[in-house]
Amino acid sequence: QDLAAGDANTAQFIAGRRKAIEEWYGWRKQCEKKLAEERKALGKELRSVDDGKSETIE
Amino acid sequence: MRPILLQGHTRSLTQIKYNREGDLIFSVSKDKVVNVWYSHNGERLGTYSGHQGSVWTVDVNSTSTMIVTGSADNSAKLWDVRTGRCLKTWEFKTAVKRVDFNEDDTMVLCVTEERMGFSGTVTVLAVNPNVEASQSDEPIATIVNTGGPKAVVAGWGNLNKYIISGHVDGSIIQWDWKNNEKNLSIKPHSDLITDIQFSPDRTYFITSSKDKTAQIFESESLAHKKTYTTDTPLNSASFTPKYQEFVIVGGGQDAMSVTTTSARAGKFESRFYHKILEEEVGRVRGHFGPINTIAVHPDGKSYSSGGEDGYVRVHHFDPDYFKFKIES
Repeated sequence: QDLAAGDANTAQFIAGRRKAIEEWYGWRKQCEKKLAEERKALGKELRSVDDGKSETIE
Repeated sequence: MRPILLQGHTRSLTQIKYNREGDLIFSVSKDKVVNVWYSHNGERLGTYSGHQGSVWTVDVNSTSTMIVTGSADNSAKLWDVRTGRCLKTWEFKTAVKRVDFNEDDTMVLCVTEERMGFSGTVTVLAVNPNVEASQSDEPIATIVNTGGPKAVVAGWGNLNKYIISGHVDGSIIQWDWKNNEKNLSIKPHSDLITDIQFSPDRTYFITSSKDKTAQIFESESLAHKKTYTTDTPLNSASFTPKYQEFVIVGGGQDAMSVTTTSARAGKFESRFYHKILEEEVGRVRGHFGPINTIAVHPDGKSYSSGGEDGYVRVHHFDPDYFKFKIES
């Protein structure tokens, strides 16, 4: 019985984590979409980090 | 992998910054020196000499051609990264505690200290990205939190829409910086805010505080997103941009309080938290004093911490770090 209750708690805990992760990525997606739209409206280009200009100095 | 120790500062570190590509680390210290290092081997590339007081803050522009520094000598200086030449000195009435380039390198903000008859400000200056050009003296804007607690840290929101400042009492304000008007104001921390760092796209940010927490907020709304609770006052908080959704925080009791407890209780460790789940996932030891500043390499494969002990420690993550997966 205890074992079953433990399993249920773990399942609930894992479900909570999953929900937090889904909410975060949902929010991020919204932010990124809104930012891309605003950037476009302002005519601002975003420079990518890996635009080939970086070089490794050995 | 063993950390690389950057030895060259004689007093406590105040801020570290990686450039956009992450091949360079800029460090500033109370010893008045500004250093630049190769991040992959810790070799010192150069020094920027000229400040007459503790250097509190540094930032580098997105093309790695210029850095700006702020100092207790009541000035901010603009430097040519390649030659080490000082391109401009902006004089203020008080110390410059925080500087930040905007995302298109055309402006820099300076947080100035409040002192005897001078109110603290967030001053916005124009920067001409051409190293050969002359730089303007006149501020574009000056934000004063009249009658309110002074700002100690600040940064630019996305698309330069607003400036977000963190204050001595733990409050955070979003400013319409062109008009010196408050858009939004919250008080999520109960003590001094020590650091503010933005996500790469500047749509959210993390603050660290002496109240022993670090918290994440959305830039646009100042909506609270996450809280990381520790057992030690925090001086810095940073995001890992790739591979793992972590935040790294650092701090520790200051030297004055440490004498009253054992050195072990100083808690001078970098702590890793899962950014989304707010759970602690690991710690890294090493410093002999509080951690004052943390920065993560933009490639997400290493990070650096700067301590009250005068060292910068560059840590490259082990293979285990990349394999780590939380059950969900």
